[in-house]
Amino acid sequence: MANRVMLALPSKGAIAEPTLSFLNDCGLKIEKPNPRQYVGLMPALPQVDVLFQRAIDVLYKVSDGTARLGVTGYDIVQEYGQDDVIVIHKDLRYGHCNLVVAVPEAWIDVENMVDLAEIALDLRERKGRQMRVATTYPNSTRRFLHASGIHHFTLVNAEGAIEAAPTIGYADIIVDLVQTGTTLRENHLKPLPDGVIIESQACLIGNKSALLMDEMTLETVRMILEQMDASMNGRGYSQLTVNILGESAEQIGAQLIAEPVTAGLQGPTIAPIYGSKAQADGRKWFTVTLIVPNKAMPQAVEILRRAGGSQITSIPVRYVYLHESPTFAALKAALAL
Amino acid sequence: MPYELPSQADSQRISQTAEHLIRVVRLFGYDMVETGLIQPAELFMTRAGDEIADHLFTFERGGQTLVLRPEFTSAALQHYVNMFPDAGEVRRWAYHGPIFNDADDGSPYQQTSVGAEFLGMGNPFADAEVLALGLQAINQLGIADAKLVIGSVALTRQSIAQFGLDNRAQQLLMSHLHQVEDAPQTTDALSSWLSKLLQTSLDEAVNGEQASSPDQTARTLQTLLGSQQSTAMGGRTREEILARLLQKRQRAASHAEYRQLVTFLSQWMSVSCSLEEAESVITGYLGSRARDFTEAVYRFLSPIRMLSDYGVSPEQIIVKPALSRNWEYYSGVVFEIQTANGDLLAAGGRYDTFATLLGASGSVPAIGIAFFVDTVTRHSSIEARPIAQPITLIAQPLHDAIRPAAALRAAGLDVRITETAPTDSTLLVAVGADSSLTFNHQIFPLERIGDLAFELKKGQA
Repeated sequence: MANRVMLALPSKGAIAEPTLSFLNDCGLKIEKPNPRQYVGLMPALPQVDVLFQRAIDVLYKVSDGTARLGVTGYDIVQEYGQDDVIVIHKDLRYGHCNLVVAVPEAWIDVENMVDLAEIALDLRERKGRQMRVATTYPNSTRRFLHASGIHHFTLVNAEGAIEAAPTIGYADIIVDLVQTGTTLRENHLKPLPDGVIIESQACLIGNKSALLMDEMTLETVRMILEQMDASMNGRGYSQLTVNILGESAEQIGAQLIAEPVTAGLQGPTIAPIYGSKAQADGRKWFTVTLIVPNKAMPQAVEILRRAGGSQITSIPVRYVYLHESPTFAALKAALAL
Repeated sequence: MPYELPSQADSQRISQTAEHLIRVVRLFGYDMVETGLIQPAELFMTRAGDEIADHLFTFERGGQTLVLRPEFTSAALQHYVNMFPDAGEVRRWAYHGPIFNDADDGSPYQQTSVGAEFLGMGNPFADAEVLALGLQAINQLGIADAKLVIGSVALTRQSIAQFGLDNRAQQLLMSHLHQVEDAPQTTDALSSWLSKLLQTSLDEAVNGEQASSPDQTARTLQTLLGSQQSTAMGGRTREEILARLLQKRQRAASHAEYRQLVTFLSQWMSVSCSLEEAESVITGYLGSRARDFTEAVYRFLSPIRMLSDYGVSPEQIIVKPALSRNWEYYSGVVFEIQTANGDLLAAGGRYDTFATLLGASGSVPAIGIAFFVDTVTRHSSIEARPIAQPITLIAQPLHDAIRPAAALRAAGLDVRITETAPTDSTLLVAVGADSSLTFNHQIFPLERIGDLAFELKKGQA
């Protein structure tokens, strides 16, 4: 283990393939020499070994220190949270799903958690039994129901096909992960709007002790986060190159900086075009390069045209590296480093 | 949080605090009773039920769910109901021991509690006695900033009833009040909760903006339910769903009154005053309805006024009528004895109707108090009693010390036997082969053990 950092990744399930794809996009491609084995490499960071595990075991491996870093679902971290595990990056922007309270569609009188609290009382006082809740997330469910003023319920352990529990009759309601809601609808269940327990997506976790005591682990995390933040930032920007006829670089620069959309990250880069001759009015051609948020692209093009621009080209930005990875800065603050 | 073994000095102080609290409740005539550490979960989960049920340590044995007791009251009252099914008997019971709380908020899993229940008497005298013994016990421990904060579930419930809420909605609201009590925006939290309670979007969808008669709505919904292909009913029948939907619709019809209820409750929950001004402040808040509350206000304030006869200073009393506790079976006065920074030293209340949930044919007048011994000890200014230095007899073989140890114990001394001298501070007595005893270079034959006992007592002093 000396001088090596073990990264645990999900071997199967909804976030397994998206995790490899995400890391690839971040410039952290994973190579798996033998598809039958549960180990891999990250060539961009040679000190990293990769271990493939079930999503829940990723959490346990990071908790017991076998792996120092891991990628798993935030719902798993919330449900089985371990003392020595810290969430390093909560929003990897894939693997989105919600842990929700869902009731039979036939319960047309139940529209929210207050209604459900009343149903729990009704079942207890009129039928002498507790409301039965089928779930594989007992800890999060218990906490949420208590916070919603529901104290009388029995958790029914269920593995798979939880959605069928109210139909089969061994539970009244369910708490389960929902991505699109199709499975719920097919089983005649409806989620309660205020019954969202966890808004989950893939997250990067780490072993707190290792991060505090092992400099190489912390340095590896910094490099991974630089890539992740840069890649996720990059998705929102494009690089525009435009030729502009103007009096001088200063005049064009001042005109573009005056508009936030064309001000770029630090300001536009402006260079004279080689061989261009001054026009009769004294103006010359310059090439301007600037970074523009994708969502502001139409406005940016309009501003550049008004400034005398033409031949505008756009290429997507893959990475935007800031002065420091914001997620790494937040991690240092959380660890009081 | 797992139970952390206190230091010897802290153990001593906790024991002394518990002894003191027990002495005070005994002075008021309360008999010590034992309740089992392990209880049926049913006692706390289904019948009593409240936030206590959220934090039970449960386990299964022989098909029965059992718990480590989270409190004493339920078991004590169950015992009373079993003994006196027709009630009528007055009993003063007290208890002492560990209670367990499986909370994930960092609080310890195990705490020590001393408590008392006054069963079978429902008048203000009983309330006053329990309040007085609580304050007296705390005051004698030198906790200068302790205050009694007192409210009335009965008064709050009666005031809510004025706004036309049905019983079930009242019940839900009462248990919700405890949750929003400390919310920064009480009004917003109450409004949000009530708007959910009154939400009837299906009704609006069926009828549009035009309200129709209940019969029309019922027919519409029956058709709607009948057309559902769903078989997922979650243990409820269509008739039950329909009945509740109609009840919701009736609730929503009084929407305007509930807006007034939010306004009233927001103000009511902020009331906090001295005993002297309590009556005028409370009737002021009740406004034109005050006449309907004369009896309830009198019932609330009369035991508090009696406290002066017990020597309680009015300065120590804060009247907060909307005070709510986390047990839904409180039915009358509720109270907390707390420090200036809000640490809870003791708490309790009247719970007359609880007995019916435990199998009694009718209500049993009952009021109780529980002291949180660990917190009380932390705030107590009473110093720990010095621990008497132990006496060690050193003998080889060990059994040579049996007879002299017995003689010293008969003389009232605590004695332990070892083969070698212990490392902790102790009075050492060496036992010779001829049973002679050597202490401080003086030799005492067995027949002069009385002289040795005298010397050892001097050494302990």
